[in-house]
Formats: sequence, structure tokens, C-alpha cells
Amino acid sequence: MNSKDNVLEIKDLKVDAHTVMGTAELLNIKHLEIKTGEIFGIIGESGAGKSLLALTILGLLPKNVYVKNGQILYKGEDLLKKSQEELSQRIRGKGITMIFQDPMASLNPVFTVYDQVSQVISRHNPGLSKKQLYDRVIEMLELVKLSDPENTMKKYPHELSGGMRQRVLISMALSAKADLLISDEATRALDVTIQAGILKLLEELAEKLGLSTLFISSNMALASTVCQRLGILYAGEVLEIGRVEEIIRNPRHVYTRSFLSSLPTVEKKGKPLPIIKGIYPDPLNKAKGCIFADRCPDYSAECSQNKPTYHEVIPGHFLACIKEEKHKPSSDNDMD
Amino acid sequence: MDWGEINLKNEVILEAVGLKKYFPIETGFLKKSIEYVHAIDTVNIKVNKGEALGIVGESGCGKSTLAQVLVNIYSPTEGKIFFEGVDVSPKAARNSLGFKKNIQMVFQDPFWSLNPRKMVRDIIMEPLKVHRIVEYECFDTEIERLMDMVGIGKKRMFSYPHEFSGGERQRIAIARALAARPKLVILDEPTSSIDTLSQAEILNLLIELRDEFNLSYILISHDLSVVHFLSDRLAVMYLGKIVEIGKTETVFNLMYHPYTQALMKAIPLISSNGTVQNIEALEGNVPSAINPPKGCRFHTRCYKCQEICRNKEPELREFEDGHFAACHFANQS
Ligand SMILES: Nc1ncnc2c1ncn2[C@@H]1O[C@H](COP(=O)(O)OP(=O)(O)OP(=O)(O)O)[C@@H](O)[C@H]1O
Ligand SMILES: [Mg+2]
Repeated sequence: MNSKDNVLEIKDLKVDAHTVMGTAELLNIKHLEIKTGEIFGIIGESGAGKSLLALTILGLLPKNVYVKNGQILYKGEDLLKKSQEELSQRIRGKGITMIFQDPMASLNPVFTVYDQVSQVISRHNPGLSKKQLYDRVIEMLELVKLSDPENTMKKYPHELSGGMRQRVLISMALSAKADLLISDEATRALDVTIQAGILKLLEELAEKLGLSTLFISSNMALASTVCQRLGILYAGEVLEIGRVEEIIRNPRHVYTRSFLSSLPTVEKKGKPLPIIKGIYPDPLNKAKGCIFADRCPDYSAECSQNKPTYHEVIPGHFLACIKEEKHKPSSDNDMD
Repeated sequence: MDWGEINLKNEVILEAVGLKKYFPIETGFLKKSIEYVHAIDTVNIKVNKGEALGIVGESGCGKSTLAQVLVNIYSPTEGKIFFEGVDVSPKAARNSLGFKKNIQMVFQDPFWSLNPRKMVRDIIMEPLKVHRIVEYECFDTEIERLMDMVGIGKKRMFSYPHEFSGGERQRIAIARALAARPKLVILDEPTSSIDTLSQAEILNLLIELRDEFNLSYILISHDLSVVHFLSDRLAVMYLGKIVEIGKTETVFNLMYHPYTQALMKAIPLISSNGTVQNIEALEGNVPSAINPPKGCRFHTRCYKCQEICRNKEPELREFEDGHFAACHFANQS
């Protein structure tokens, strides 16, 4: 695969943490890539490591958390080899920008929208005249579909609704010429009608400007409406990656299947929802073999011996499960 | 078993008539004046025995205020509330232990609604004591029974809320609500702070409990798939008013009100055969509830808006048996 098509590529990433109880294994990701101009979703329950993955990419890990090994290639450059200084000057809030559930935390409450957006623009385009700068701000606010930009830009963050704040942040990311946006549950606090607008905007920016998005969510239906591909994260490990249609119509990992079958879809009304038993793995005490083994209805002894290899079951669809290899003997022939 | 058909015997447990709740706020900088937020404005609802009524709408539409008025956290500005046919509108009636016992509430975030300094045992014991549900000697057996019912091991009676996961805390909140042996439980976003898999467990639990005790629910949620799953009837609220109400299936399939259509189209949904709904955004923001738009409150965002919509407020009209919508052009596409 041509790595030029990827805005981000993660290889053999292991992230651990020192805690009073010992070493916690937080992330163990064999391989993951985000293609240029795609919206890639990471789905997982609380504690899966979604936010940690975002922080690892940005080099913003908490003090006790560290990268044990691996590579994070951003347009071919390994971010893990960069100094904090280089990350903050060239990467964070520039090439890669993150938006969160609470947009207030990323906006400066004492400056107007105009101040904040124009500041980013002039940093990236020194020497613009006042008029040019003004026009660029309008242009950027229109790009993110903020209604009435001339009025909106005079406002302070607290005068805006949640959806408008997210749009301002996205316009700042675009002004900084970001090509990778990380959205960590950024629409969670919004009303569905407003959320739909933000999702539409992300789709449009991907199409028009080639903006790539890492879309982090615990909501499968939400991610499926906006992403092209999904990665299923469970206790720090990617169990399955594939195109959205493949993942939701033909999930291959038992965990993915359970996740989908527990959604209360319209057709399931009146029947109990199927659920999987067991508890979420403890990062201090992770299984040596398959991370899902203790909850898996298909479990057999070999599952706890080694980690299942992360392999391609059909082109572009990756899976970490030894059972599935046996279910589909025909894929052996396709392989070589 | 078809859950939707069990109980439509029309034995009304709760009825609200012409309910209004206005919150006064001070506006103006130098010349102070009082204005009112019209949080709920002339709402009529009925909940039957053993029935679940879902309420959906955008934030600020008044759904939580409605719940809070019904459980007596706020008094209504106007209107009457009847519980099993008895007028409980006077504050005294609703402050009576009998009324309080009958209606219990489960909140969105169990982390804040459970006292962090109390053990699970004490949390569940409180309603047992207040409402004298069982004799003192039987408290522990009753607490064990309730914990068992919601699927939490009785050994964890002596644990504190922070030792539980979000889904487990929500179960404890449900156990506490059921301890009083209520007839109606109001669930305000009961699963929106927990994960998909715990959500499925809570939904199953709520169905089981309802079947077992013929409980009635009022379910408030912004997640339409959750509301669809649990509710027999569904009310759609916009800016303090019910704009459509009827059997859940009918509301989902017919969507007489343009706002119902807009809300449904904005929701990310996967169907069982793996198709993903194409979502559409609703333009514009929810107008201020201090000066709600004249005429139809939705007219500022409605694709069907005509002259009459700006001037005349539409009444709820019955379109099917028991199905009402408030729109001048409800049956014209
Ligand atoms: N500084 C830290 N030290 C030790 N463990 C940590 C630290 N920060 C996070 N963790 C652990 O890492 C795991 C992943 O956390 P993370 O915040 O990435 O989850 P998440 O998938 O974003 O969950 P949510 O959906 O709740 O936001 C959790 O088990 C968490 O307890
Ligand atoms: Mg997170």
C-alpha cells in the first residue's frame, strides 16, 4: 500500500503507564492508518483508550504515561521522534488539531470570534492587510457554515451555542491549514439536529478540502453515518478494522457482533437485547492471549495462549481473531 | 411476547391538564424588569397503567421541566395534575408521603444522583425507612432482594458509588427508585451517560421490571432508538409544547408534524439489516423561550411555513385514533 495516501499511520504502538499498583498496559495497536481525505472512526466503550490514542498522536500524554515502542507517521514523519518543541511549533494546533466534547475549554473566553480566528490566520499568513484579514475571517466562517458571519464574529464564546462553538474551532483548524482533525466525542453534548449539521460539515470538508478526520465515538450508529472506515477498539487493542458497510453488515469479530446486536434498533422492539457477559479488562492485568477471550462464547484453550495475529481477511478488512481464520478456509487460497 | 400490546386498558394513572411552568428571570441592565421563560406551556398528558410514555425533543424544549413538575420538584404555574383520579395539584397533596412514594425518578447521571459518601446499603435503605415499606428487621433482606432484582451482587451492599461502573450505578439508582414500590417511574435520560452494552442491560431490566410489576414509565430521552424501544406512546415537544403525540409506531411511521420529521431525520440509526440512515440537519437554532415565536412556534424553521403559521397557533388535532399533531398543514405534504 502506498503510504503517501495516508495522512497518518500507526505501527506497533505500545503505550504503558506507571501506577502505584504496577504497570498498566493501555494501548497495543499493531497497525492503523488514516487515509488522506477520509473520515476514520474509532469505536470503543469507556476506558477503551480512545482519548489516550488521540493524546498519544498529539504528544500530550499525562506524566506517568509513556510510549514503549512504535511509530506514528504523520505524512511520513515519525511524530514519536519529535521534540515537544517541534510538536508544538509545527504539529499541534497546526497540521493536527483536536476538538473535544467541551469546546469552551479550547476557546479563549475574553476574545471575540474575530480575534481568535484572525489571530490564527495572520500567524499563517503574515503581511495581510487589515481588509484582507477581515475578508479571510469571513471566508473561513462561511466555510464552516456559520450563519451571519459578520455578526457572529463580534461575539464572545459564551454568546454562542455549542454547535456554533464547534464550528468556530473547526474554522480555526482550517485557518491553521490542518489536514488532520481529531474529534473526540465532539458532538456528544449537542442536540441531534445540531449534531447532524456538524457531521454534514465534516463530510463536506473532507470532500472539498481533503480534510482527514479521526472520529472518536462510543456510538456506532453515529460513527457509521459519517465515517468511511471503522476501527473497533477494545481495552487498548484494535480487534477489527474495515469499511463501515462491512463492519455493520458482516462483522467478523464476536465483540463487534455483540456490540451491534446490543443496539436497540427499531426492529428489535419487544424482545430482550442480546448482551455479552463478563467485565471489561483491567489494564493492570491484561490477558496474554486474546484480550477478549474471557468473555468470548467461542472460546477455546488456544485463544489464551498467544495474541491472535492481526491479519487481512478480505482486502482492506483486518481482524484479530484465530477462530475466524478457521471459519473461512477459502481465504487461505486467496492469500498466496 | 409483543411488549407494545400488553396494556392499553386505558386505566389512567397520571393525568396533567393545562400544565404550565414559567420561570421568572430578571432582564435589562439598569431598568430591571421581570420576564418569563415559558418552559412548559399548556401541556396535557395522560399515562396509563403499565404504559411507557416517551418524551423527545431538543434541549430546552421543556422535557426535564415537565418531569420535575410531575415529581413535585417544581410547582406548576398553572394547571392540574391527577394521580389515579385524585387531584394532587395542591402542593400539600403532592408533598404527602403517599404521593411521593408512588412516583419515583431516575436521573441521567447516577454519579451525581447517588450520594458518594453513602454505602449502597444506605442508599437503598432510605426510601424503605421513609415510606415504611418493610419492618426494620427486614431491611437487609429487602435490600438484598432489590439488588438481586437489578443484578448487583448483594455482597456489594457495603461498597460506595465510586466503586461501580456507570451502568452499575444506574442499576443502583433504579433499585433505590423501586425500593419505594412506586407505580410510576420517571426516567430522565436513563442511559445517556453509559455505554452501548450497559445500555442494553438497563433496557432489558426496565422491560422485565415493567412486565413484573405493571409499572408505568415516563421516559425522557434524546436518543430515539432508546425511546422507540421502551415506549408505547410518544410525545414530541418543541419550545414547551407538545407538537405531536400518539402510539410510538404511528409517530415513527407517519410523522404528521414537520418538526417530528426533522427530528427523526437527524438521528443516526442503524437498522438490523445494517443500513445506515442518511441524516439531515435542521437549519436554525431553537428560538428563545422567553419570547417564543408568534403563531406556530416552529414556523421559523419549518419548510412548510405559510402566512397562517406566523399568526395563528395550531391546536392539537386528532388524525388517527389517539394520534394528535399541532400543525396547520399536517396532512399535506
Ligand atoms: N494517567 C493515567 N494513568 C494510568 N491509567 C490511565 C491514565 N489515563 C488513562 N488511563 C487509563 O487508560 C484507559 C483508557 O482511557 P481513555 O481515557 O483513553 O478511555 P476512553 O476510551 O477515552 O474512554 P471514554 O469513552 O470514557 O472517554 C483507561 O483504563 C484509563 O483508566
Ligand atoms: Mg475519552
